[in-house]
Parts: sequence; C-alpha cells; structure tokens
Amino acid sequence: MAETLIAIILATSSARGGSVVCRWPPAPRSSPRLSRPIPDDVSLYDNPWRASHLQNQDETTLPFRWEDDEDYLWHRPNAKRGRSVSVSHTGSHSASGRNSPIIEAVFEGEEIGDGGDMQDEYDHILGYSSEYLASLLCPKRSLCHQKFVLKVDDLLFLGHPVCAESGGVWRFKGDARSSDPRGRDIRKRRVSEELSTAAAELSQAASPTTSQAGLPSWLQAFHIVFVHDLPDPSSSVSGNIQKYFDIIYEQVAFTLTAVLFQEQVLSHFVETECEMLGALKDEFAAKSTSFLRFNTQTLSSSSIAVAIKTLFESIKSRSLAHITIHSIPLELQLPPYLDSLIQNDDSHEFADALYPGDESASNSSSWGRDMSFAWRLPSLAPWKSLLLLESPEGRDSWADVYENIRGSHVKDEDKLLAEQLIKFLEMADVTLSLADMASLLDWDLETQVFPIVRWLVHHRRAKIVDIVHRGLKTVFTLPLKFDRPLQQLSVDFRKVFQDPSIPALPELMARISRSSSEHFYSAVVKMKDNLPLYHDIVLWMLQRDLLVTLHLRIRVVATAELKRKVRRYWDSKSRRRVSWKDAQDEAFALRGRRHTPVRGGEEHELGSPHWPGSRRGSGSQPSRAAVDGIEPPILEEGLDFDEELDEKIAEAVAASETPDRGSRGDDEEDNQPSIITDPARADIVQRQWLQTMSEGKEDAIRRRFDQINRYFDGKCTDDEILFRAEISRKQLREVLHHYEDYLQTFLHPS
Amino acid sequence: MTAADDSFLPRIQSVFYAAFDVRHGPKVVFQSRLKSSPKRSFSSTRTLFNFDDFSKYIIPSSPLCGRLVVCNAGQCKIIGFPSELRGNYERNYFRFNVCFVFDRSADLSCYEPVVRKVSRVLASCEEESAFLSSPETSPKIHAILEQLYEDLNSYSETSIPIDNFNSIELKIFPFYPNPPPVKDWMVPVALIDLKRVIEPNWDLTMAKVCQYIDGTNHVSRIAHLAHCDLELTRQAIAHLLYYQVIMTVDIFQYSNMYTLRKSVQWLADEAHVKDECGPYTVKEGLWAGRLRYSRVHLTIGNSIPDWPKLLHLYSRLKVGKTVFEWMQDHDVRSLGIDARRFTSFGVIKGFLRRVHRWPVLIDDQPPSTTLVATVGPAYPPELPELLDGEHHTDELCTRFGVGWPTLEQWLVAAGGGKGNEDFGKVFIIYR
Repeated sequence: MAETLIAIILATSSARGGSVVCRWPPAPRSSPRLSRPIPDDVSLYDNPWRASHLQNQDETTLPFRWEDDEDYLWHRPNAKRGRSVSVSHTGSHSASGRNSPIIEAVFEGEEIGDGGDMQDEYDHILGYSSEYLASLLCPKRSLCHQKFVLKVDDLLFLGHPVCAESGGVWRFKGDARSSDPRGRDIRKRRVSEELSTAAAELSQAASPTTSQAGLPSWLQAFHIVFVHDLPDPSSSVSGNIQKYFDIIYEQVAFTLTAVLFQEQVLSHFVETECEMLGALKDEFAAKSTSFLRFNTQTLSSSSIAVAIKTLFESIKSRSLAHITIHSIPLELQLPPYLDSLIQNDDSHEFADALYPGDESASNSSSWGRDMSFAWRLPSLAPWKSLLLLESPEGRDSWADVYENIRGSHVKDEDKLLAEQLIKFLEMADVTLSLADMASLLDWDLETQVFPIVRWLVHHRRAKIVDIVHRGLKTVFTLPLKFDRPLQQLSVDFRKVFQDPSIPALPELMARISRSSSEHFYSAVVKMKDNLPLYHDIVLWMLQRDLLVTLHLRIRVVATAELKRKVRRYWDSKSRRRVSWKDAQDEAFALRGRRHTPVRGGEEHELGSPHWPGSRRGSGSQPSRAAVDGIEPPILEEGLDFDEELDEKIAEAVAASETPDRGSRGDDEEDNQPSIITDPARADIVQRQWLQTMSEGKEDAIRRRFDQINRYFDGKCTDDEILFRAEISRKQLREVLHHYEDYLQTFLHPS
Repeated sequence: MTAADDSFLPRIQSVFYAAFDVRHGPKVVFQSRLKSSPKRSFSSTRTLFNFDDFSKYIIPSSPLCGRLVVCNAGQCKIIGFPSELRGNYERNYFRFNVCFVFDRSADLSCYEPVVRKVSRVLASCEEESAFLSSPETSPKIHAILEQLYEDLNSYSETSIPIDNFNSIELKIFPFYPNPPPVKDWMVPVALIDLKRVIEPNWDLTMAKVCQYIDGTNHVSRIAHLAHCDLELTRQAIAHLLYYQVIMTVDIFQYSNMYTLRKSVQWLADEAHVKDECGPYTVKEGLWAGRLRYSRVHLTIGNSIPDWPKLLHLYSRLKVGKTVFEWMQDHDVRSLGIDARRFTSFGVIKGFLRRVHRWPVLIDDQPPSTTLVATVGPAYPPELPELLDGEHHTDELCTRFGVGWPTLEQWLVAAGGGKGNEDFGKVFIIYR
C-alpha cells in the first residue's frame, strides 16, 4: 500500500485548454494539518483543559475529539494577504479543513466555493479548478516524456506526462527526437526510448485494432497523475521519502502510462475515451445530476475510469491490481513493505537486511529489479524451498489455477508444459529444496525453476522459505513481531486446528521458543504419529510468518596450541638449512615490507599458483561470487623441502604480518588464538593451520574436512554447505564432532 | 541524509529572483552568479534549466501563490514560494518569487522554512516601501541573492539588513527524523559525555535527568532518582534520542536472555567489534560507559580474553538460557568479564538482542475457578489482564515496580502453577 496516495487523476490538454477527465476517488482530500500535537492521553492535556473538563470521572473516558476542535487545525498563512485586506480573506479557508487554496475570485475568474455547490464537484478537485490543475499537470512539450514531480504545499503530483508530436500526431518516440530543436538531454531521450520500448513490448500482446496511427488528433497531451498527501517529513530518514516515490513512479505510474501511450499511438484510444467522458460529463452537468452518479456512470462506460479505480483500490488494499486497458490485461502492484520506508521502522530484523555486507541483499538481483526493493525477500537459492500460499479466497483457488492450466484454450504444443507446471505446483513442498525439485522434474534450475518461482512470489501465490526437515527436525524460533495480536492469531489457529490434543497457539509458541537449540520434533511433536498433523501446523505458521528457521554457521579457530605446533614445525625445518636462511632472512623481511601493498604482483613474481580473486589479507571483504565455482589452489601438494616452497612460506608469513613487525618474528600476537575469517581464501600459513588440525584424524574425515572447511566462514548456512558440498547432514555432524576443538558454531536466523 | 552528501545540508546551486513583467510576462530579473562546482569547472556558463519551461510553476497564477512549490527541472530541483501582492500596480497585482535551485536528489525539508521566510520578508518590504517594484531599490535584490547564496552555503545562516525596518535573519537547522517512542523500561546509554555539554540554561528536568544516565538506570528509575515527573523524563530522553546523543538498551538482569542476530556473521569480522570488545567488557576496565575508544591502550594485556573466546561466549547466549546460567556454564566470572557490559556491548554493536518473556494467560475456565487458583502471593488485580502476550516482563516489572523474581512468583500464582518453571495456565513466549 502507498498510504500517502489520495487520488489518481487523468489530466489532458488540448487546444481548448486543460481538463481533468477522470479521477478516483470522486472527492479526494488531504489530511488536515494540525497546529499542535494531539495529546496521546489525558495526562498530557494542559492544565486549563484538565481543570475545565475533568470534573467528573465519566468524562475522562470520553475520547477527546480533536477533529472537532478548530484550534487544532492549522491554516496556512497566506502570503498574498495584504494587511489592509486581511479581513476579507479570512473566510476563504475551507471549513472542511481540506487543503484548499485561497480564493482570488476577483482576479482570474476562478471561483472556489466551500464545497457544497454541485458545479464545484464537477469543476474542482483538491481545491483547485480542474481546468487550472490540468494546465499545471500538462507541462510544456519539452517536459513531456519524462518523470514529472510537482510539490505544492502538502500535495505531491507524480507522473509521466506524454504528448503528441508537433502537428498533433501521436507516434512512438525513438529517433523522432529531431523535432526537438535543442535535442535536450540524453537522459530524457533514454527515458522516452524506454517508454516506447516498454510500449512496443506490450503491443505484442495487444489485440489488433484499426490503426489510426499517424492521424492528427485534438488531444495534445495526457498525464496519469498520482496525487499524494506528503508524509510527515519527520517520520523517516530523508532519503527514504524520495525512494518511496521513485518506486511508485517506476512500478505503477510509468507502466500504466506506457500502456495508455501505446494505445493512444496505435488507435487513439485515450482520445476516444476522453471524448466520451467529456460528452458524458457535459450531459450530466447539464441535467444537474450529482457528481457521484456521473462517476458511477463513467465506471460502466470507460475502461480507463475502471482501471484507475481498480488500481487505486488495489494499492490501498495492498493487493495485485488486475486491470484491463483496451483489452490489454495488466497486473500492477507495489512492493508489500513500501510503506515502511516512510515510517520510522525500528524493526531489528529489517535493520539487519540493510547491512552493506549482506549478501542476500546483493543477491536481490536474482529476484529481478522490480522485486529487489521493499519486498524483504530471502535470497532465491537452490537450497531454499517453496511454500504455496492460500489466497484470501480460500484453498480452492489453486484448483482454479489447475483448471485454467488444463483448460481447453491451452494450445496443443503447450499441453506438455502445462502438465509439467501442474506437476511442479503439486510437487512444491517445504521439505523439498528447489534444487531437488529441479532434479526430480529434470528441469534447469536457473532457466526453468527460478522463473516460475519468481512469478509465483510476484503474484503472492507462494513464498520462499527455508527447507523444513521431513521429520520436522528443524530448529525454529519466533519472529520478533507478529503482524496481528496474539489473541486474534490464537482464535484463527483454533478454527483451523480444532483437535483438543493440540495445545493452544500460545502454549505451542511457548514450547517452540523455550527450546531454541532443540528441534521442533523433540520440543513439540514428540510422537511419530503426530507428524502429519504438526506438519500442517508448521505450514500454517510459516504462511503467517510465525516461525523463523535458525541456521547453523561455523567458524574455524586456530588455537594458540595449534599455532605453536605449526611454528615448531617450521622452526625445525628451517634449522636444517640455517646457513641458507641467515643469509636470506633480512632479504625476505625487506621484501615483505616492500611488497605488502602489491600482493597480487608478488604472487606472479614468485610463480605461485594464481588464484583469481584471492587476496591474502584476512581483513579483506570477502566476495562469495569470486569463490563460487573456483577450486581452491592446491597448495598442499607435496610439502617437500624444495626451496621454492620454503621461500613461499617465508614470503607468506612476511606478507601476512603487518610490515612494521617484520618477517616471521616470534611476536606474541601470533600465539594468540585467532579466527580464520575466510578459510576459502586462506593464505599459506592458514592452510598450514587447517592441515595441522587434521593430524591424527581418520582419512575419510580429514578429506571431508578439507572439502568443506572453506564454507566455515560464519556466513554459509548449514543448508548451503550441504547443498554445495553435496554431503549429508550426518556427515557434516561428524566433521563438527571430530574437529570440535577448532570449530565454533553459531545458531541464528538468516 | 544520504551518506554520499558532502555535508549534512544540501548545497544551493543558485538563487534567483523572478517577477511578472507587465510587458514580458514571467522573467528572471536577478540571479546569483553561478559558481561552477569544482567537478564542472570546464563550463563556466552551464545552464541549469530553461526558465520558459518552468515559468508557470515559478510565477504561477493566483491559485498557486502563497504556496510552497517544488518542481524538478532536469538535474535540478527548484523550490520557491510564489507571492502575489495587490495594490496600485499597472495590472493591480505584483507577482514575484525567490527561488533556490538544488541538486535533484537534495532533501529540502530544512530549506522549506527558509524559502517561506525570505518570501515573507520581501513581501512586507514591498508592501511598506515598494522595495521590489521600485526601479530605485530593486537592484539591491541582486546583492541580497548573492549574500543568501554565499552565506547559506558557507555558514548555514545569514543576517541581511534590507532597510531600516526589515532584515532577513536565517539559520538552517538540520532535519532529524522523530525518535521512536520512549518506554519506561528503556535504559539510555550516553554516546557523548553529556556532563560536558550541559549548560546552565538547559531545561531543569533535562539537567536532572542527565545526571542519572549511566547505562544501567531505566527511564522510570531515572524519573524516580531525579525526582522528576515520569512523562517529563520520557520527553527529556526522547529529546536526547532525537539529537542522537544517546541510545537505548534493555534493563540488565541476570535473568535476562539474549540471542545472536543475523548481523553477527559480518560484525564478528569487523575490527571495531573485535578490538573493542575485550577492553570494554573486562571488569577492571577504566573506560566509562561509552563506545569510542580510539586510543585504548592495551595495558591489561593478557588478562583480556581473546576474541575467539569472547565470540564463543556470545554464541552460547541462547533463548531459554539466562545470563546467570550462562555464567555458571562457562565460568564467566573467572575470566573477569562484566556480564552487563558484555551483553550491552553486543546490543549496542547490533549483533546481539534481548529476548523478552511475553507471558500469556490461557483462561478457558469460567472466572469463578480462577479465583480458587490464587493461593500464592497476592498479585496486583490488573496483572491477569496484561497477560495477553502483548506485554513483556520488563514492561510489567517497571509498571509494578518489582524485579523478575517477584513477578515470576506472581505469574505462578496467577496461572495456578507449582513454581519452578511451572506457571500453570500462564505460558511464557520468548521472542
């Protein structure tokens, strides 16, 4: 929902002037501005008020209706108001408190009444004469075909005006820019090209109509304007408000305009509708019919009016708007968490998502541009799972979908695809990962599974969740906040799960939350027979965001003991060639110092295995993308005593230490335990530590550890490790057990 | 404000004065000299926008006069307050506007009052002495524009005398978002040394409240200690929050529970977390309850546990395990760690969060039977109503002025349980 949206209007301009052809709601209003804060509770009222109102107890319970108190309404000071004429203008403010401008009737012949007059309803909107407003909103040609933002006091007008070429011909832009003498800026051209490309894409879906393209038209410009009541600037951080309006522009205003523009170019659709609506308005106004009846009539005769109404209502109800413009179906929606941008959201979990190093945030590209912001989606990864959502209409809505897919209008060549789609939907289950589904269906993950998942999530028919263990041996916790009060949730829960053996929702939640390191089965289910029932409960809770899966993450610690061991090993090694080392030691130190800033070059110089994306500094910002799919260097091949390798080790030590500490001196710091931040990119010393950890371990275990320790960076989840390393949970547990001295585990949500 | 901004306040690119000319219509009469920004020094005569395109928003007709108008113009944003004065003019009216031009992405909240005021002052000058419309005085506007441009960009304030009676006095205040509502159970932690910035002319409540902000007292306790009204104390704390000189954490008790947040995966590798944690959390630390220790000298040396050890301790803080139990399990006392500082460090840095207890009373029985159950210690009669899962125990504790041990007994009594984690019909949700 965009809570600031107060109206959508279609403004047009022609040689006869501007006009607001169509609007929804019929009588938009902005919220009144107050001159002083509304008290939250009685104790905050000032003393005179308390003295006069709180004489008996009954009155304290009456809610104070500030709306009725004129003192609370704030009237804008009028800059035009001359001192000598001030009295004559004080009455010009609308008594309704709406944001009406000051009447200057004598001047421009723009009479604005106080809202009672019927003619007013036809000709005035938001306190402006509709003709004037339309002229404001249809800018000069040079400002058309680009984003339009106009802020007047508390109102913001947002849209994308489009106009006919000179000569009154509507055509797609592209390289027809030559008509513009200055050829204005590149950005604008880009936007207009984008618009025409978007329109051209949509035109493929358009029904063939009699083409009137190229004929001159009386309509010079039209503009679908989204009118907003500006939010309180103190409600959020400043940059957010701009972002908020940008999203509304990109996802709704621009798309709708693109379709209308295309239809206007192809078949003068907008013009025809405007003509019809104008005639209708004249007819109704002449008969003195009420504006509401006129508005109702427009809905039955104009598809633009219906589209505007549907869009407005869908935005307000946070749902997907299905609108049809000139028989082109269009689906428009705003991100579900858009409004949190303009609210002071102190939700911790959301704040986490904004962390710059968050890979799931940068991963948003997997969701596409439209869904990357304010959707708060988890990353779309092969080890995640799909949860189909029930639509508000109930369970049967999926049956309709199946029906549609199987429907007779599906072409024969698509039949197979339709069957597979049904198979996909039937298979979707929280216990199956997307990768599993892909392999079961023999589909390609990236090109077949993900697009369907994206479509389902975009249409709010499904959501991405973490995979749930078949035996419910998953560790859950509760979210920080519930969307609805617990009591309401409990009532809903009881309606669905009436079996008295199932505890009430609060009790269930108490059990789940109490045991954060115990999995759901042992904390709640306890008996195998209960599994199917609790499976449904888990689904019910997941659908309502009442469960958060906890994930295991692992880090590797090089203990002081281990480090000493490795050091002893080196020392014993280097003592054997002490004469050689003495001569070279200083040289290494110098070299280490000199080369530290340009480590990449060093690697080449030494001819060490070149590993793209490898950086030795442990403090470097890891980038998973660089590691994915790239095998770690095989540095451990033969720790024989050849000089080259020795040299490399010495070099690495020098490089891994800060320059002023010199070469591998026996500094105290290095005897302190430390965390190997990114084992995938461990330097030679860290590799040595990792290898030494495996001393005395079984071969199979050691191999597995070598295989998976690169995921032990505290960021990879257990699900991801299992998927990437293709091992079982049991095998992972085994490694964790054998190497527990060196591993730290963390359990927290993603 | 976006981090990319050079300063907290947006920079004015140009100031211009436009008026309705009787013969030529709307036109720009004066403008401040365009100072090319360093990045664009190659073009000394860059054009910000074409005035004719925007003239209907800059010198509009009556309905828009007396309103703040902001429009986007290419890469710029123009903010103005068109004014219309009536009187003995050729067309019976005089329209003018002083507009400020900014970068398109600028946030202009803090400039809105400035623009209004400039227009208001100039309008009254015009009304009094035809300052704007008279050919003798109108050239002075150019100097005013220049000064507005220079002073507001350089000093964020200005004082421009216009005539004997009028002057433009402006100061730009940075714009902060509203602070979150202050609750009685929040514990303010100072981020700066409040005692050093306090001045004798400060609000009396604020001065008293500041004395008790030590990272352990919660709001209602501060009100009590400072002998201040609770609501006024909340407002004082909200005020400090607004200026971002304090932040709030939870009340520390050994019965608290904490859990890791998602951000630990990055923060555990950050130097400011790794290096500051030990010195801050070790008991004998000489550092006051603030977070900035750029010059901490590691004099304690070996007595500070290393980061892997500390991180391991953090990872063992879990829902269902109180701080006290955690201390027992890991022998935290022997490491010299101050548990309060240890947990508040994690909360302040943002990788740890408090897990609250949200008691819920499930009462399926008719009210008569619940009375029978109340055999334990007497609890306040309004307590059962509050056990709806929407009030956590910190809230209940501060409301009734008791600690968790007492509240725990009350909950046992209210639920008719046997004690020792059996609350009967009261269930505790941890989240």
